Amino acid sequence: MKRAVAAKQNPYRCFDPERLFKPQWAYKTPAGYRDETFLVPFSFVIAGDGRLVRQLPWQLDDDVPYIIRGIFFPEIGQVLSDRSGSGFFPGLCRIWDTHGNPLSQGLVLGLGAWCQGGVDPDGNTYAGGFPIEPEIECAPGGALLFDFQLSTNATIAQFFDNLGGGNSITFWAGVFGTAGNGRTITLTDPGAPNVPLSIAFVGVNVNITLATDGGGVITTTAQDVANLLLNTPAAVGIMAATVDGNPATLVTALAATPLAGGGASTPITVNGTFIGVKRFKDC
Amino acid sequence: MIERHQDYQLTIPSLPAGGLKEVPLTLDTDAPFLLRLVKSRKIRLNGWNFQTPRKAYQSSDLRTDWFFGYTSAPAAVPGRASRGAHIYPELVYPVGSQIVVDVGNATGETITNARLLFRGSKLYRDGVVNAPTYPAKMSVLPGCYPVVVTGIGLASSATAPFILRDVPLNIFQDADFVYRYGVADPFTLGVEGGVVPPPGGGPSFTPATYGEIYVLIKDESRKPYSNEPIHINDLFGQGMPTAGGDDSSSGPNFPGLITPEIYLERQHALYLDIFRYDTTGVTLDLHFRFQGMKVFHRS
Repeated sequence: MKRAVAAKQNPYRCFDPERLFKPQWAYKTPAGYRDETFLVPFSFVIAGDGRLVRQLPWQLDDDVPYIIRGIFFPEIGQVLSDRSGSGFFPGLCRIWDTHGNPLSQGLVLGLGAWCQGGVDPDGNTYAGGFPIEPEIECAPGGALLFDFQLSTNATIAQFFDNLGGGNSITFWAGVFGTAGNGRTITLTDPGAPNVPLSIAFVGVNVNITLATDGGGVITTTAQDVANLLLNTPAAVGIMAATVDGNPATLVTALAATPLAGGGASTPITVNGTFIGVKRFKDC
Repeated sequence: MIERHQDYQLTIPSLPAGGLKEVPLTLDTDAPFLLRLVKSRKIRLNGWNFQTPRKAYQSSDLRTDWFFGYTSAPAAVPGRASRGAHIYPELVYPVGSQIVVDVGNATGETITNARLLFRGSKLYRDGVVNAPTYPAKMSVLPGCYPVVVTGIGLASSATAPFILRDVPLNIFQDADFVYRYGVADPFTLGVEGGVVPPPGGGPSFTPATYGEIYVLIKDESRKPYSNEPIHINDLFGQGMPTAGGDDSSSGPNFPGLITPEIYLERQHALYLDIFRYDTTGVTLDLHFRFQGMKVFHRS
């Protein structure tokens, strides 16, 4: 008695040691079939807000099974320090095959070693393809599904404080996006001798009282301010600072100044290509 | 016979100018060791040499596992770390024997914590250690297990590392997993309206970096796969180079290979001990990705 089998179901395969640790070209085409190389480019537009997007489909041709043997997917991975123009998006991803099997147990950073954009010690980017082993047999007309969670591309509000002589300190909101706009930074000259460096918060606004020496002269450097923000637990998520130029440059008093320029996220387009073969049955 | 992945690492805390000769690395007494690859750390182009099991040197002079460097753009680089120097055919060291090492140092200064990593496998008789393997009938799929370890802090001093022990890689009940290579990178997701990672912020998303993180991989019975913790970039590779990255063959094209592969049965586990010696920097979230193949049992 014949068992009823779904027309597009793949048969179970027994373990064949010859299939393992073979270069891709060494996979044998089953007798009675003919393989033709075939690429499947894919592209998705994803919200750039950092939130999870699930089950985005990419449908395959419905003529014959497609055998995936590699992927070229350079855009999801680690990121350069400045994404503007790099084209690399830091984030998490998961792919499901056409039978609903996830190819990873949960979201993984940059798809691990399957594909990721990275940089070498010289700052050069990598965007190579990666083999997928063992190969994945996809049902004709099936849909590969993608989950993404990419770091937001919302910009961060800031204020650039020019200290002169090519030296500066930049204050950054501790949050992505427009929520950081309007937060104020104040650097207060205490006008008194021997005052220690201190920090105070009014909501999300920061007031730093600068340190002075015995003569009431400010002794706080740009790096002191940056370190104070970095090492104050209450400042996490509120404000940070980075220093350019000489970190020992003394800072000066600054009236309450709002941070600005924090922008909303924009959609992110990611592109990739599956590499494999279409498997035709010889008639 | 059973082959089990094994790393031996020789750490020389203080390598004086001029180098050292005949530094012994004593091997375990439970099984012979098959040496297949040697990778250096902090030794760079100073060179190293070691003795074979018959106490003859493996090369006629100091050698290196680094690539040649270049002096042109983008920057002058005296050399570049590789994945390591392959040893072929393999060298078989008897139980409890020693790998005797010479290490050069032409810098004129003392090198601290110079390391030589000897990679290969231990060779056991059948039945001596648990060695699960493929079922007679199965279906396979490529697979990846992520393990995210959050809050990896700083060492309180150079000799008092931040330590996390027994971080598990738990294999799901649906299939066995064959661990063949791995990657690890620092990463914290940025969400619009959320805190800029790493805490402390910056001009945009900038992955936190590290310099000195070491990992010890252990099986379910806590039997380690190395004699001491191995630098994370040697064990896992990394997509993003770190400070002092010249010693790490970083980049997504250098995942950390595990040979021979480690076969993990469903509902079993692998464990990591993580040691961080950095005294400066920020607290990290590390994303480990264990790559390989899922093995579904069929009847």
